[in-house]
Amino acid sequence: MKTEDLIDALSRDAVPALPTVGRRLVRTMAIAAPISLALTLAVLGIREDAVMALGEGWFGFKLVLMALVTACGWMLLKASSRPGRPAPLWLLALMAAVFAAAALADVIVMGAADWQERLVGDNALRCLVTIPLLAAAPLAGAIHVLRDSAPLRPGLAGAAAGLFAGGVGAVLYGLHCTDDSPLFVAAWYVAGIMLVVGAGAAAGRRWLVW
Amino acid sequence: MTLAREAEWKRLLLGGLSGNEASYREFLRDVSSYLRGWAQASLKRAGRSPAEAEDIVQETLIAVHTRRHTWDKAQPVGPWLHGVARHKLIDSLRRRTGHDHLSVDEFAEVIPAPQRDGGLAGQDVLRMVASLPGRQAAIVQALFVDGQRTCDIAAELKMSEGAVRVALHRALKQLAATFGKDVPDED
Repeated sequence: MKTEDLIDALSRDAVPALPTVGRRLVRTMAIAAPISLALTLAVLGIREDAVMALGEGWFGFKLVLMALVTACGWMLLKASSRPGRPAPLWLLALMAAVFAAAALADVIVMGAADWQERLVGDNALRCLVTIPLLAAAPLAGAIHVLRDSAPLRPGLAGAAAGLFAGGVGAVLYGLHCTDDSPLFVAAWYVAGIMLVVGAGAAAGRRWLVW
Repeated sequence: MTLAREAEWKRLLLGGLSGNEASYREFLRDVSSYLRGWAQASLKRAGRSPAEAEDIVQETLIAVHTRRHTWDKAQPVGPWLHGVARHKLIDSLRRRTGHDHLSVDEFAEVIPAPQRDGGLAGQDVLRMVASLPGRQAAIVQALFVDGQRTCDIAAELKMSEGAVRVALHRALKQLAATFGKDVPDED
């Protein structure tokens, strides 16, 4: 086969290309996020003191932390979906530092006396199970979009998709869960998200190789 | 790679992305001579025959085509293209030798190599084409190997020209997907 003929055939296929990865991700999330939200509202329910708790204590802080995870996941996801720029892996160090600081603040502000109680909380196991469940639809959507992208490191791209989806799941679960202690969040929420990251990495190695 | 070339690639690729065939053809042609020089140098460095370069050029062109929407218009074309090409080169070496450790030239150091014999090679691509389903294989064969025009193929296969283009589009996607998998060598 001649390269010249290949070029000829390819240029004849110069129909307008697919929308960019970012745009397609936004469209897919417009479908996936409402599914997770509906699950949250229908099955779990929002905690009753949500509005009141937002203004006081750690509830709002927890949601901000999880939103930060989601934002970092989104940036890593977009960057690792294509060649050209290295993924900003320093975001991971930033997140680790934020969580360490949050756990430390917990101990300083609330005292070291009953830290074990706060760490174990009321719903540790439920947190581990529910966050991945709520993350399933966004993760599936992100992997689907990534299949038509060009990740140089499929495992990393899948893991980034998992971080983003895990963040979405954690924000939603956070609306239901009454454990707000940063110590609890840094342990169990992060563990739940890590499960999604692992699932994303495995999915990436399986489906994102090109 | 010079700044002027980067600007030229950007202009041509932007044209191609909006559906301008002539602009896109020029882009692919110019890119292919860069890819050829780069692949030959990289293969030599890895202790492989530079004759394999044409396969890598063709695989990269198909990948560039099916994933052209992943180029970020705000970013330069060169690094993106280099990433795709490097990915395909490593993939190809892994398929042939089982190794994927090699040092790859930056485009900046590359001397473009225009094709001399029309770039005849592409054993890999031919093998992939044979594995395409039914009509797709016939269309790609007619287009790539025999160099027929789409309207002639359409008449021959009693399809509309639009249907030929759709089948071509699917075939190219399928080809790109096949390259991602391990394909056993026949020899």
